[in-house]
Amino acid sequence: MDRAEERRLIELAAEGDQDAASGIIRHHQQSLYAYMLRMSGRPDVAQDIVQEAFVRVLTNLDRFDFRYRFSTWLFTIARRLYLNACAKHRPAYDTDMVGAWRGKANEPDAPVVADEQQDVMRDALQVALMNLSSDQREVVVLFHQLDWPIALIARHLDMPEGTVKSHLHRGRKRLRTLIESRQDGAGMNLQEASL
Amino acid sequence: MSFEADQPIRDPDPRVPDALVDALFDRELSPEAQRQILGAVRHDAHTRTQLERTAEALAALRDQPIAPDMTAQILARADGRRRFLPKRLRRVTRAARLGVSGAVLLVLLGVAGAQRAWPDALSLAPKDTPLADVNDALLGDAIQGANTLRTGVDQARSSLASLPRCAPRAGFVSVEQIEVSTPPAPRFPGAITLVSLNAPPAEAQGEPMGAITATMLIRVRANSADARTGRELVTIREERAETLRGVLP
Repeated sequence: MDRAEERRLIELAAEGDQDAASGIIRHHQQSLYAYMLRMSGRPDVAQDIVQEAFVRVLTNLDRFDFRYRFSTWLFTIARRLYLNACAKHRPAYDTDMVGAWRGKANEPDAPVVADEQQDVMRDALQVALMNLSSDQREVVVLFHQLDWPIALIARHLDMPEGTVKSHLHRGRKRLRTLIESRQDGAGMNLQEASL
Repeated sequence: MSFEADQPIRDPDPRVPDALVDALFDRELSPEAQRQILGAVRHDAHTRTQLERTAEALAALRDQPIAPDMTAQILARADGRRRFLPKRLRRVTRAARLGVSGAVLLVLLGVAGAQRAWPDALSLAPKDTPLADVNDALLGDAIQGANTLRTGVDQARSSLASLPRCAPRAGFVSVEQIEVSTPPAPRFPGAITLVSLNAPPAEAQGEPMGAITATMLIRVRANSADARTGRELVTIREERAETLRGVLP
């Protein structure tokens, strides 16, 4: 969706057009849900935050400043909601979230072994992500999952670009280390089981 | 990301600096620089392993989770806070808004015009009351009070009429003037208006009888003749205010 089309939908939705609001939701809910799921590690928390963020955005569309990106506004609101939720009670990581990933649902005929390997990797990835600091996790997700540029992440998180890069480098290194240790542990467990 | 590169290794040092690897993942390198690093990594087993594992993790990260379609729930929640309108109703609402805005504008213009035409008519600020208004009000109250009292005074006169009338002369006293005062006017607490009833003086031999709800200023004078010149002398014997209460017979 280009910015002109997005602007048209926003203006219509601000006037009460439900179809336009639906278009906005459908366009952004996937990336926002992925962001929140990575941050919280819990599908229920991610869904709740995504819904509340959209509701707040839709009920305040008349205040939106078209000089900025709509997605940035939406993600900022979602992030604040997430931080508020964390301040109240830290969402615990849900170990059953593996089934929520696209690969398993979209490729029913894929080989079982490859599917399981993907699941192991995704599970290891999410566990590793949840072991990063909040800043590291957020920077890694925004940069590598959502392809946000460093400058935009810096504005979104209200921190200097150098700090963003520092979080990114440390987060990436720690992510790799955590996944390696988890995969090594899993490999050892498999060997022990086979013995 | 492929780690097989066709470029030969130019740097004999097999170890690729971490900063370059970070720059590679940060997408800061040109395609040429990327090829050089990937070529160098072929001969750096440690860095190559790290690079591959990091790339594998990041590839998994890009595998987006399936988002359930939350459109209906979001719209329902949003509708509870701010109503979405069907297209036709939206047009009506927009027209109604324009109409209301126009009407408000017309009213404001009308008020502005009226304000210009009659500046005092629409002023909401408290205004000073002109002294003339106070005087008029006092006069009105005084007249009303005087009319009330006039009846009583007339009754007093008629009762005095039966007394023997006599012309002013030496040795006789007369009531020369009657002045009455109204009770405090309700609109102007504490104000007492003195009203002079420009009536001809009621003559009486002695003091007036009875009382009404008025204060009478009674001036008693005595007439006498100068023994030497024969001229008439007027002497004020007494001047007092007396409250008249009750109804005269």
